[in-house]
Amino acid sequence: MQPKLLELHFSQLQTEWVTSKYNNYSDDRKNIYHEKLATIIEGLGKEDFASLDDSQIQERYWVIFFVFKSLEFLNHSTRSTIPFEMVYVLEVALKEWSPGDDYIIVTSLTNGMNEFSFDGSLSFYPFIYTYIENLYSVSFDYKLVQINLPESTSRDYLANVVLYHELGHFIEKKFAITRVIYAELLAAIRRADPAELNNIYRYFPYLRLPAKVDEFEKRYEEYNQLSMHISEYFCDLFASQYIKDCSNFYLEYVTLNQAVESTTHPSTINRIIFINEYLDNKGGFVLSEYKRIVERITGIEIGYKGKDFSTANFESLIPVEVKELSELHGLFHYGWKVWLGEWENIRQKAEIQFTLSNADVYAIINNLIEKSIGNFIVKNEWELIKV
Amino acid sequence: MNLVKADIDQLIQQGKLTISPLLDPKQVGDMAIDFRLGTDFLVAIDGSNPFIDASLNNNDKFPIKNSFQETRRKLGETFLFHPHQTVLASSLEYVKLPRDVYVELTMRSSYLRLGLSLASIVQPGYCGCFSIELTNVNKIPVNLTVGAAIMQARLFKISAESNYFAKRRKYMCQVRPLISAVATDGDFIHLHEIWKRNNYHT
Repeated sequence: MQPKLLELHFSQLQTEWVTSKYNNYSDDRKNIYHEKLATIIEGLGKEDFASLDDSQIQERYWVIFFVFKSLEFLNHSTRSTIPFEMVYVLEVALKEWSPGDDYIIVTSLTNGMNEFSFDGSLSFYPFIYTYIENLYSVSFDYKLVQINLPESTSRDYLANVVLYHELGHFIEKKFAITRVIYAELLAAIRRADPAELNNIYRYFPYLRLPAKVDEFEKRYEEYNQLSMHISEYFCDLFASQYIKDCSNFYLEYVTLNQAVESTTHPSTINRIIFINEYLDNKGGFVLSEYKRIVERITGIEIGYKGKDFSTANFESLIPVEVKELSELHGLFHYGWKVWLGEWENIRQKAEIQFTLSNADVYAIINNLIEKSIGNFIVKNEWELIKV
Repeated sequence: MNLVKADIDQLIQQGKLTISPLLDPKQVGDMAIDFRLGTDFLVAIDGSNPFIDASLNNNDKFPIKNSFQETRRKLGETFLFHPHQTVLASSLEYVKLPRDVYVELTMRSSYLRLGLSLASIVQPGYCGCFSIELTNVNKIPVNLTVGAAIMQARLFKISAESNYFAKRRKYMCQVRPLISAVATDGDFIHLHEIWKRNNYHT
């Protein structure tokens, strides 16, 4: 790359920084992270790019990429933009799987409908951190867990159950779970036990083709079909530990219950079967391999991590008084149950004498989930300080 | 009849009055309940609309939402309230009122003295966070703390119960300030038709 092109890239970053440098966060960890970005930008500004060789230019390219990417998410995680109720519950789940305080969940609000995704570029590219430390003597105590979600539904808690799946992608990558399951499934195919094969083919039908098996045996790549499908099943399983079958409902309407797999995702039908079998305590070889391998790698047993509660508060139009962290996850399941249930219950309990529209019920459920989470956060913060 | 502390405590214990969260029992005073400033705000801005149109005559051209900007704060953070600015906010507490109790909401004296005003009536049976429409009539900005008890509610018992949901409500179970739905007032259709009849000949 010519130095002039790197200068162009850095000029773009400086333009972005003119506004981003004034970001305000409600989280001191982000403030610390932000200050380190400032140090890097200052360091880059003092350099003469024209005097750098190709490899030095490449290092700066990645450093600039890192700062840009960080700002892409931090700009949407400021105190005035962050959907902090949703981020709070995701951080509760994150801490169970990654107990250290070294990751911060940040969100980027996208324009596209259904654009939920995990971006691992700041969590899993260790070489960039090495460049930054060597060049600017900056080391990061915290790394960002980047989650994209649509701006239009950032406060839609029924849709946002999908974010548990996206958090699953972070956990899966952190522990390299897919790689191990990948190897174990191919080993099982070589063993050719009929019951195991039958179960593998159910979730990965294309593995019936010997050429496909050969292809996957020759090379593991993070972005080949099998590895991506294994990863998706894991993330569904991860999410269902917190929200049970809620993400199935979302999947159904987003994919129209797609019967055929794509290169990146298994068929929706198979994904739903997989989760339902887990929730019903059924499941065969594949599910038991997932459970066995996840526990072996992480030390954490796959199982329901939420806490059920019995309430009819939403039907009475009042928030749920959440008493412990694990109950937070149950709010999503409860919200979906109300949405899929008979709205007549709400009408009767609240003595509503007009016809409730879809939009009414949608707003009521989302508002009450948000307020239930928000009240828990507020009460916790209030009670932590003893004056 | 103005409800006093014993009445209010009894309603809460009986589950007839919901206040969630009630961070400090001392919020319930002898004759009023203190309510706290919530986390969400809609701030009036000078947008591209030439005016806020409280009519149906131009409403499709000048949506009210273009004149407000949403922002959030967390508990303990502050919100800078500029002179003569209109800000829509909410109480931190979610409330469900009994069917025979209405509320008169005013600023607490300490905040009135800063130049902030609020006067609002909340109907019996209402549920949701209180919507508050604040104006800073002072000449200098005021920095408000989210979670501070800035307003007080006096509760009044009425002689007969009324059902808040006997008719469709514009704002149900709201947990953050919402843009004015003035254009959905039933009278407006009537008035708009009069205006059309007088101004358009078909």
